[in-house]
Amino acid sequence: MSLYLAITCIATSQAAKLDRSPEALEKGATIYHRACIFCHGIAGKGDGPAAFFASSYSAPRPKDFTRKDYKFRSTISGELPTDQDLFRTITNGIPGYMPPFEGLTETERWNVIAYIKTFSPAFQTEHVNTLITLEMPPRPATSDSIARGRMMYLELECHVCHGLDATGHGPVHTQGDLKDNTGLPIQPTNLTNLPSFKNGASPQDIARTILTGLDGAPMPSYASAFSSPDTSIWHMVNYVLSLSTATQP
Amino acid sequence: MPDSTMRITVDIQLAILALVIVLTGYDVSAQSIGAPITGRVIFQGPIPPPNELKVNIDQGFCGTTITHQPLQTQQGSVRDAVVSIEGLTAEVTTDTTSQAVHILTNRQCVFRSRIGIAQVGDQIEIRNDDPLMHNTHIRLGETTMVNVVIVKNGRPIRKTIQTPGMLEVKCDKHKFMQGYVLAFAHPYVSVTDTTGHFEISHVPAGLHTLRVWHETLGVLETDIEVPTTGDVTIDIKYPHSSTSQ
Amino acid sequence: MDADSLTRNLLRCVRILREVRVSLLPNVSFLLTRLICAAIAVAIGVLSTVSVVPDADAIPAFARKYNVTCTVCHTREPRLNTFGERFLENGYQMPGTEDGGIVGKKKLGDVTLPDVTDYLAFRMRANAVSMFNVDEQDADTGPKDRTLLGSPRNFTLLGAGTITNNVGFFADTSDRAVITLNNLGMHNLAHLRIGEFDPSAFYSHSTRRQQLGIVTAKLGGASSLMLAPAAFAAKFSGLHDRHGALIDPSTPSLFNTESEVGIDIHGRPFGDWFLYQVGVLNGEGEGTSDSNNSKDWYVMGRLDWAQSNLFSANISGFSYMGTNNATIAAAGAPGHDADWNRYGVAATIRYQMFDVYGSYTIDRISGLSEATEAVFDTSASGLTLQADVIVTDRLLMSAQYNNLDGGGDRSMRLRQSVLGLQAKYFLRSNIAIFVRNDLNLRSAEESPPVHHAFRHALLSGLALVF
Repeated sequence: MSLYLAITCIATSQAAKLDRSPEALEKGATIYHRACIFCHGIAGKGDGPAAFFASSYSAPRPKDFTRKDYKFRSTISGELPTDQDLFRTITNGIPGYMPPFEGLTETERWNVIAYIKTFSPAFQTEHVNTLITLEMPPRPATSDSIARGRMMYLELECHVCHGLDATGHGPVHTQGDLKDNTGLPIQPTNLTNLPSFKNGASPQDIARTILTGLDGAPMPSYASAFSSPDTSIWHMVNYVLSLSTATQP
Repeated sequence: MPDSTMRITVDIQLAILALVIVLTGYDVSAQSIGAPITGRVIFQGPIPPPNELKVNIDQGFCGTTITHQPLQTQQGSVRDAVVSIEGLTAEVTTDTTSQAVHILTNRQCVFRSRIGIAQVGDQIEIRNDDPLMHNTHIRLGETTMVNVVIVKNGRPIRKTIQTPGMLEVKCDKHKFMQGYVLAFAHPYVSVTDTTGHFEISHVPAGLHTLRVWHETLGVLETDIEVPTTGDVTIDIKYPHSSTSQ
Repeated sequence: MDADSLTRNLLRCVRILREVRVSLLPNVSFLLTRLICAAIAVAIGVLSTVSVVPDADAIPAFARKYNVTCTVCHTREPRLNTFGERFLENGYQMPGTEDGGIVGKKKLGDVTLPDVTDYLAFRMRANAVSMFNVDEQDADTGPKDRTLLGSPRNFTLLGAGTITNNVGFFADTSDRAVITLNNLGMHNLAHLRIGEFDPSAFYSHSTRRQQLGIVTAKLGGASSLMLAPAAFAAKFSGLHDRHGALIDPSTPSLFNTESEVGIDIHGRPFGDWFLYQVGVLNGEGEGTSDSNNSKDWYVMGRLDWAQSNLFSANISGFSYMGTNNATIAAAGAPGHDADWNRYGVAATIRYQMFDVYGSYTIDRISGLSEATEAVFDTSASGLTLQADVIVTDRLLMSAQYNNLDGGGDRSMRLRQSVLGLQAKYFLRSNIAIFVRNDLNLRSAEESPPVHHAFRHALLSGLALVF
């Protein structure tokens, strides 16, 4: 077992809902070619005909499905996402960059997930059996909790990228040092703008992002900074949530 | 594992190799038919001046610059060159109880050691001895293998190496920090010590390609004939022009 | 933008313009090209000092609804990228879905209700300063140099979206209004448009999606000059619409009109590689009162290659058949109705930061008497070539070449070649300021006086969408 003590490690079936039959894969391919190919490309390399325009000379570009590092996961850093992680991203989209595809039926979304997973052999050879689960209820956002969250924000040095004012202008970013794995400059999330959170804006989404990091981007996993059983992550979440509610009366 | 850095001396390397052999349950009798290869990696050309790396953050602790000489020689022998046999594979265990563990420590805003070797199935244990946050971001090509923060007094983190290749180690917070771990699918690999010497044990007999990698000198390859019994000694010499590439 | 990247961008600007000059502009003085470069460089320098918001949060209606930035659908607004094209074709639904755009909507039985801001937007384009330079004219009534200050008159309030599954709508305050019925029969078999719309919306070179906007200026007396893509232009001098109004030979028209009343069907029944379109329109200038009871019709086919490598290409061809859709009134000939047809091809190639496209059209007028044909040239052609380059995340450089070999009244056929260069700087993805220079490359000997006299125009202004 890894040293991620903050997380509960459970064995799970990666494909509880996933139909990998040839029929399902064929349906998934059809949907992929109608809906996904324009950004992600026919071979899933993230090089579709519209892939350049959304962010051009900055990150993020559309996901290259042939690579195994995924940003939006419930798994520890370096591991593949679960099917449920992929389903969540397709359903909700990525604020700013990928529209939600909840217009596809659930079956269609599972079919396209089955097809997407054929682009990387890692999905066949590596089994995801360690998940970060966040079953603890969020702590109430009391002023004490938010203040403790602010203290953690500083102690864990979140501000070096996100800035003391949390608007995404920390010193490492302003020095131009932040790049994603493809070498494109990347902007830390403005934590005062909740709707822009790419990995979701619910308390669980925020906690998951902090614990797992965003593989492929500079955002690291903070799992080792939280001990188990530890509810202090929710102080941090409450603080982050408070940054937006303060500016959105 | 000892709480020390991954600086590879001959002794430590031999110890690791012995550990690997013991823990992974190598069929020593099958391997022992091979021969050890020993030798030196040599470069006698001009040594470029050391890199003056500008520190962009945490200057109070890290200093304003870090002086780093990636090409360290002793009487023409090159340290931190990785010597390996190409084209050989060995069955790799996935039994976690037998994994070798390599320590990678953030200390004084430098990865220690900067150059390491490992085998697929081994673990890298990332530590932080500094009183500030480091993130250790290990990539294979453009793909993240792990990207983790260890805060001041934070617990170490282990990650299993699943794919062979050159792992590049960086810290996104401190862009001047850099290191490499070369991961192989076999145990026939060594890194030169402070005197520029290496030793690869139990190499099966036959004609092999010996490959040398150094951070600044680049890659050299040479053929080598390994007999069924007896030692093989070889000195591998980088051309003088290697530093101007 | 730091000093290094500014310098890099300026050098790239100069290099690009030099290349354009070498390939397209051999007869223009080097000095003039350097002046254009200098003007653009200064403009960029000034713009780079403007405080900008780095977040990609520009959100007109669809972007607001789906919470994405404009450039998910656009190369740079207003031109669509491949994803945006398929979204438009699918009746404002995500490609591959038939969802009625359910995102963010409240469900009310069979219909859904979005928040108002999710389907309302407004668009504004204004040339803040337009400087037209013309040759000296003998007559007092001839065109004059003009420096015009613009107001944001080109202001459009628009609403668009979906009412329920496969039912979309678009309406704006410049009279366009269209209902779409999508995915009739099976997915992507047939999409129906009814209302007043731009026929070329799905063509490789869409009329309304121009980085160099259409400009009209009064230059003294009755002299009016329009700068618009030559391939779309009416091309004929002495041509009148069915209401008797003279048609400016530069005006976008027929298949390439900005909007007409009609009905059309398009689809991709065989996959993404082929699009068909068939439509019927009331005809040029007819609006909703088609007095002659004879419709114009058109057919368009398009081949697409859009799969990978940040590359896409497509080629389209159309045939537009007019029926009694214009009135001829050439000097010395009696006026009468005629059939005005157009045939065109267009293509687009996009690769990374490059978006290169163009179209060529041939217009023919038939049904004229011999007497009229003696004074009226019945064929004309127009060519428009354009290249847009995304130089940085915020800077778009464009070059547009137009060549019009007009027809019509033989005493004043419009023969003109114009080169337009533009630098457009996006303060945010929905707000851009631009500097543009249009240069007349040949003297337009037979052309109407204003076109003959026109030398160049320097335009600067603002384009925004909210």
